[in-house]
Order: sequence, then structure tokens, then C-alpha cells
Amino acid sequence: MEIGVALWTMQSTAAAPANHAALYAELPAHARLAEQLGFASLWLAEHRFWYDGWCPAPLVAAAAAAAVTTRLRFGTAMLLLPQHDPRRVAAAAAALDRLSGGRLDLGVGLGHRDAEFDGLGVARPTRGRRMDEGLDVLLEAWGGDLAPVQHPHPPIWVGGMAEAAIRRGARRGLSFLLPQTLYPEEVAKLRADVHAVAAEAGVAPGRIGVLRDVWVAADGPAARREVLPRLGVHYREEAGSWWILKGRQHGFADPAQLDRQLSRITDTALVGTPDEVAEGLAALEAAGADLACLRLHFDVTRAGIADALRRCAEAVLT
Amino acid sequence: MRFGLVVDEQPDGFAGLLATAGEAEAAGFDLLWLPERRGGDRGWIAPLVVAAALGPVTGTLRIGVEVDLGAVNPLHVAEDAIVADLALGGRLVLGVRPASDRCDEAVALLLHALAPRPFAFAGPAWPTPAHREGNVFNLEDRLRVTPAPAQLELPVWVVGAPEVAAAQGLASVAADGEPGDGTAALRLRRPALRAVPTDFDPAALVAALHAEQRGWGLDTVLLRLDGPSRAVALARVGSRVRPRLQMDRLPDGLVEHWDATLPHQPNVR
Repeated sequence: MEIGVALWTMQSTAAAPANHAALYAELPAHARLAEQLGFASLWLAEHRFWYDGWCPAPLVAAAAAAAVTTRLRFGTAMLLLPQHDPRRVAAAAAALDRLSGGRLDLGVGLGHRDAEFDGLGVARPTRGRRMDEGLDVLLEAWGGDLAPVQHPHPPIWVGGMAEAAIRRGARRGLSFLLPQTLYPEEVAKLRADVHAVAAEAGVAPGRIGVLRDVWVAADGPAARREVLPRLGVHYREEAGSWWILKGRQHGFADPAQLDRQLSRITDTALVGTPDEVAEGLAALEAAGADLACLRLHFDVTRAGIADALRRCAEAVLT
Repeated sequence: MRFGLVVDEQPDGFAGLLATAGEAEAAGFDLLWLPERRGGDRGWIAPLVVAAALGPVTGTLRIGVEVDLGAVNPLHVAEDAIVADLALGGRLVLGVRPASDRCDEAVALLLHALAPRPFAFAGPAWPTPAHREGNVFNLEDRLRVTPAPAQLELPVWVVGAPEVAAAQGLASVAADGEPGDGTAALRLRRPALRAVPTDFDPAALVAALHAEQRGWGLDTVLLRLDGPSRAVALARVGSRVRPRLQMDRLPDGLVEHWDATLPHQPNVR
């Protein structure tokens, strides 16, 4: 199973303020370290129009890191394709793939926040159709002037696990990058679903990737006492502000429901000793994951990220 | 006068661009200018991606891009430019050229997006926010594009549309062979694209640029050096052209002194 690191979002949050120029200045150094340590890939994310300046253009940001590395791959988890003109995405992806020597993994997701769609003049209910059209445009656009280095094109990883997402990606033979809240048995089930749809379509199935929140420490219980609450604070802000819960109101309006949703995130996080984390990753591999994107980089962990990368590499790459 | 170098994509791609950047910096150039590919020309696809890549591997050069504006939502151009400027540590110059008859609206929306404050925009093509049917939860009445650029005021130069530049109070890049706008406000730069063969005559080039400087106020020349031996041509610009255009008048004898004492091909590596 390949091991990548995630998730560079370039957020300057209330919990962990940061100068944005500094965030972007340190990305190349983080990438160099990840490459030196032997990680396969580094993943960035996309959102927009939020107070903390979450990176709205991960392909542009990744270019700076690509310029100072030679082997590390760069992925998007996820680029919100329905919010874009897919021809423009094809061009940006081709440019990044070329200047990196063929190291792009293009993860695409639907997006979920109404304000982002509305700011761009897109109706959110059209996102499924726009994703379908966008994927078809991407797959056709790469060639000629927009020829990337990787042939026939950079790997495309579809984010999402709903039936529509599985059908959308699997019948095109695309890979999947599954969210961090899935237990290994759920990963195995989705993998089987992907393979079934691909077989039905007569195409080879893509790969299965999984995001996972991870923190490695010598003292497992202490790490869980310290780190899990910090992750909880991080996700609570996003979920409370953005997620629409049952009852069709956003998270902060229903704290009890929000707590229930958030508990799954901390339940599935791999926070512990090297052996504990390695055991958790082995379970994902046994479930059929080809790639694990380990999320160590949060606003609240940014200060110690270099050491965190080193501990994680020692635990899972040796 | 400031000097920029127009760099198209060559077969050696980004590696070649890096080498050119080093040569330009050594010759005293102030910026590189990366045009977006249009039709069958040799411009760059996604020049803002390329510009960001230059961030950690160049030192002091400004990086200018010339991108189409008006074909897609200008907010995407703004976001890409902001991230590129952050990756460059505040060294981006954003050149925009009309790509549709909606350029006026596109520029106006772009400027709103680059400002660090929420806004509402009522343009016909890109009302922002749009209040589209089906968008329901936590919508905004005023939008903020985040993060802010690294620069407090990211330079936006308009290429090929002086009337749009004038309407928005922006710098206008004069096209090759065309004079620029001599009435532009003092705070605005007066750039121009100029194609020059690599075997140019230094005295003739100095005279031509000096005439423009005195005429309409050219203060930033974006040179496209056409022909072989570009590295040599860059060095010649650095030592035999650029120094002669930093003042309105040089003391009698100084140019002759330079001609007599400078190596024929100075600073060539």
C-alpha cells in the first residue's frame, strides 16, 4: 500500500492563526521533507470563500512544491470539479503534470457548501451532472496542446462513496479516494462495489485510496488525550459552520446531532503508538486499499509537522 | 526604466524557463513575462501554475503573466492569481487580456475579488453572489474571496484594451508597435511589449526606447527577444541598453567610455 501525507489546506484559523504568505512559503520545505522521508505523495485540498483563506487553487499551490522535488507525487483531495470550467482544470493539470515530470494525482470531488456554488454562479443541485460532464471533458481534453506527461492522463481519483459517485467513477475505470470516516469493512465493501460496476462496464477497476487522520506518538494514551480533542475542535468548526444535518439546519444549530456526526471522525482516527498506527493501516490494506493518505497536517498540528512527519515515516515506512 | 523579458514555452519546458530566469536576473532584468497560449502560438498553458512554480526557485524577479479574462468566471482567475502571488512571496504582476466582449465586467469583478473585503457585484454575466435556485443554506449576500494576495495591491495590467484599462484606472500594456497611453495616472506603470531581434543594435534600441520614454512615458519595457543566442542578447541588454535608459541624459563621454571598456559580451556564462 502506498503511503501519502495530507492535507495541506493553507488555513489560518481562529484556533491556529498564521500569516498566509508564511503558509505558502513553508509548503515547498514540507514537500522536500516528505520526499526525503520516503512518502509517496503529498495531498492538498480546495475550498473557497471562507474566513480562514482555505486554499482555493490547489493545483497552483502544488506547483511551488513540485518545483523543489523530483519524486514526490502531488494530489488533490479534492479539487471541486463541478465548481470549475473543466477545460481550465485540464489545462492547469496538464501544466502541473508537465513541470513536475508526471507527478500529478488529480482527485475530484463534488463539493457540498452552497455558498461556494452560489458565489460562482452554479446551482448546487446540478453538481452531479456537472461532475459527469466535467469528467468527460477532462478525459477528452488531455492531448495535443494539453498533453500531460502521464499517459494517457494523470490518475483521476473520485472522492465520494454514494452510489452515484461509485457508478460515475467505476464505469469510467477511475480510482477512488474514500473519506477518513470509513471502517476497514466499509472500505472492503466499497471496493467490491467499485469492482462490480467496473466489471459491468467492461473496464478495469481503478485503485482504492483512503484518507485517514493519523498521529504517531510514543505514548499512545497521552496522544489520544491530547490530539483527539484538538482534531475534534478542528472538525467541529468546519462541521458546525458548513454541514447540513438532518432537519436541514447547519451543525451549530443542532449540537447533539453534531456531536454524533463528529464522534465517527475521532473514532476512526489512528492516534497512538507506532505499532497501533501500523496495525490500523494494515487493516486498511487488508481491506483492499492501495493508497493511504495520512492526514497529519491540520491548522492545530502545523507547528509540529516536521517531527510528526518523521515519527510517522519511522512508524509506517520502515 | 524597468526591463522585462517575454518568455514563451520552449521544448525544454520548465527547466528551460528556470535557466532563462537565471540569465535574466543576472542581466539585471526586473521581471519575466509569461503569456498564455492562444491558438497556435508558443505561450504557456496555465501560466499562473507555471508562475507559482517559480516561487521557491527564483529570488528577486517579478513574474508577470498574461492571461485571458472573460471566457470563464473571473473569480477563478483571481483565486489562481492570489495563490500564485502567495507562492511567489508577493512578486506577481497579473496581466489580463480580453477574451470576450464581457471584459469590462470581468475586470471589474476581478478587482472586487482581489480586494480584502466582502462585496456584492451585479454584473449581467457574473452576478456575485448569484442566488441561484437550489442554493439554500448559509448563503452570503456579500462574498469575500480569500485569502488575500501577498501584495497589499496586486498589480493588474490590461493587455490589448486601453479603453478597459482607462475605465478601471489600471495600467495598460501597449502592444508591440503601438504607443502607450501617455495620459495614464502617475501612480500607474506604463508598460509596453516590444519584439526585438537578438542581433539588435544597442544604440538603435536605446534611441527607440528613449524616444518612447520621453514621448508617452514608457517606463517598463517587456522585451521579446527573437532569434538565436538569447543568453548573449540578454547580457547585451543588461550592459549596453539598460544602463543608458536609467536617466534622461548621460554625461558626455560616458557612453563612449562604456563602449571602450566593457567586454564585447559581458557577463556571459
